[in-house]
Amino acid sequence: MNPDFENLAESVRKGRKDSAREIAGKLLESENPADILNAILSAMADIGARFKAGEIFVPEVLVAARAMNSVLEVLEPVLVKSGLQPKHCVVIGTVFGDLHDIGKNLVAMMLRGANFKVVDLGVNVSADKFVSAARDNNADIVALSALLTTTMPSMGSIVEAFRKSGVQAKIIVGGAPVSQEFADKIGADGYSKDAASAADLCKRLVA
Amino acid sequence: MKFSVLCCDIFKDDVLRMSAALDNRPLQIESFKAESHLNPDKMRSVVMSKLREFSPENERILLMFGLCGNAALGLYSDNFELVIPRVHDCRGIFFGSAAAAQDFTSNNPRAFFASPGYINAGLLPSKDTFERARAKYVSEYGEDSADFLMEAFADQFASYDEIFYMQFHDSAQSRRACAECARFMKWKFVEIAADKTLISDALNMRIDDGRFFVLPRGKILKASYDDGIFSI
Repeated sequence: MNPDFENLAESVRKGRKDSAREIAGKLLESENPADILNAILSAMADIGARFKAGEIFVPEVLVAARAMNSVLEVLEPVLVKSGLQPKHCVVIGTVFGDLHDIGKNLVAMMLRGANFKVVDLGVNVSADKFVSAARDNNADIVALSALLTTTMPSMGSIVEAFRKSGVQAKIIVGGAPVSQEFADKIGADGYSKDAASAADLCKRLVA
Repeated sequence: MKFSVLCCDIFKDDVLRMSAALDNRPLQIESFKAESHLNPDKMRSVVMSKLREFSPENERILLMFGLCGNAALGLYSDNFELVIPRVHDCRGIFFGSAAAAQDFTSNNPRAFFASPGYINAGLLPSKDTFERARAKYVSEYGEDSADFLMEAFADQFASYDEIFYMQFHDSAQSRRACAECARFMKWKFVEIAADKTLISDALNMRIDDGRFFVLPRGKILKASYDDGIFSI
């Protein structure tokens, strides 16, 4: 195996975006783009697992995700040409009344790292906006984020709006104050404790 | 009734000042560091450990904090009744109730809040906090990544454009620090009087079910996921 695959994965894991981009460019000259994609996805899966285990923290995940994004910029046009596009779509946003987005952005990065198409609606997103974005993008999953116990209740209203709309996307919830108990209470399809678990949960939900 | 107070250090000065005027004063006033809010599991563990240290003479312990990112969930005591205000966080205590805080926040969604206690706890963003964060990132991740990480650090304050200084008691120094924070962050500085009734009524044992939750001995505090905030 070309040793540059491991060098690429290591650069992503260490958050070295320039070297990751350079190695990916070099690999593209002779290797299958799908293998390059798998190398960075596997590096991000490793980052996710170490984050879940408490071995690394948010800054390490952020710099690794930045390195991954820099590779994806080079890789995406080639992947699109060769038909290797994400099969599943997640619509994500922070719920109405809540302007916090760091956790949500982290989840979006991990989902991109797990090869999902991510439609990020930003913060302070109303139920109507979630429903129409899910419908327009034919989303498989809608991910709702809230940082505050005061804004968590609007997750319940959004789940209700989806059930009334007939849009079939699975709804997952997360954020510091959110719990499995709360997710069950509002009828969400899933809950995850952190960004890495959110990516795992999405993979399970579309399997 | 014999009681003590366990408060977040954001409210310690205010509780001390208001308690001094009481006929029936708390036996003890204990506090914990506001920064423990950053980790709700840690805050719960600190509070539980403090609860175990109160004198058995007490009948009740007044908790002067709120749900605080679910840190309060799971609290219990076999020895005392626990009284906790039905608020989500310190804003509910600043405004006298969760409903008043929610109304204010709905009308001022981009507002950051600070009080003398909040400022003393070192929680205000400042030139110093930004410089310390950058130095840490540079030493751990290098210059280039530090710039990127500082963007993420600054993002946590990006949703605010004004700061409300909640005046509990006169503190020219805190007021100055808050105004300086506003200048540094390019926020509008607004000063308003805090509503002290929640703290004052708690200390005077005016405990009504609408504003306070009383947790019996041996029961575990749970979330109600509605306006009552707490349940058993």
